[in-house]
Amino acid sequence: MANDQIQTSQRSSERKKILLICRQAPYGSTLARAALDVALAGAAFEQDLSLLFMDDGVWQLLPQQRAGAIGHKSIEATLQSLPLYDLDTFHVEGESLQQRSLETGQLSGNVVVLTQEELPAFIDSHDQVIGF
Amino acid sequence: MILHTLNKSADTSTNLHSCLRTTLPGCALLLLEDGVYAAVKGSVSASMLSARADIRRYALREDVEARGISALLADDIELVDYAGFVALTAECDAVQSWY
Amino acid sequence: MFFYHDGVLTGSAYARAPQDEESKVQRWAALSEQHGTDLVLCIASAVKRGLLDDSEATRHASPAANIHPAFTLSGLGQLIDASAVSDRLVTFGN
Repeated sequence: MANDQIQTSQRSSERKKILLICRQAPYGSTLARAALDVALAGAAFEQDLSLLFMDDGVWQLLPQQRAGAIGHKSIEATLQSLPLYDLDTFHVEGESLQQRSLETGQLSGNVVVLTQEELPAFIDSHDQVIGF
Repeated sequence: MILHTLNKSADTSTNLHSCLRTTLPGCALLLLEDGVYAAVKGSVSASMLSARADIRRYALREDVEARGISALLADDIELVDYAGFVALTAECDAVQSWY
Repeated sequence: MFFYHDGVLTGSAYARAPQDEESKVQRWAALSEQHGTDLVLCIASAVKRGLLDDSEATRHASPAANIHPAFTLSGLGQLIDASAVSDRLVTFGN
């Protein structure tokens, strides 16, 4: 990097609050997997990461996924490993659950449901947002 | 304050609905690529946007002109060019892209 | 610039635009040369899609590398690292 770029990096390097928003169902596209790969990379770099599941992303949290039946690595298994990296809370949009006739009790992991009132402020509280 | 960007037509995607559920008053929403169709006057999506006078609503000029819809836009959508897009990015604290 | 998922296809050395269209990869290369912008392809996304640099081509016993020289391969750690030192993160997707 050029000297001026290095100086900029040193000025602004800090632990950022990064939110990953997962909106895709598992297996139909590879974006669900991409989000988890970024989550693991972020955890390895000790960033302050949060995960939000909304829209079709809430389907990722259903238990008893038999991904091997379609030749995929299990999204469920990766999600279950996240607490090892201090990613132990899955924020979920309540409206997305309602639209899909899902209840919190049907989901695996430490799920925290965000109401319509809580959701915008929760997202706004982060430094950076990456959508998947 | 977040800048939301939306790049899909409201007819092919529910992104606009999802986006509006996450917006706080005072945030900015930029329609770009096929997302500019949401700004067409009289459309359902334009009505949804008009109902949110609390957020700043923009469309990317270059994408509007490319699609020949300059004369069809709702009056409450402000056009910005790429330089304006960059300025919005700098003004806001974070950018949330819906695609 | 960090390219991941299908975005890595931008870095193909052998993609050819039709004669009446501009070459995107050439525009990226020109941007990089003009402004010193790093163009990074996510290595996992790239290799999965058959995009290899010299090192990966050797490692996978492939006949040739096929990434444009303006691009480099790196892991997701580089995305996180860049995010940590950047004031803004902007994502473009399909």
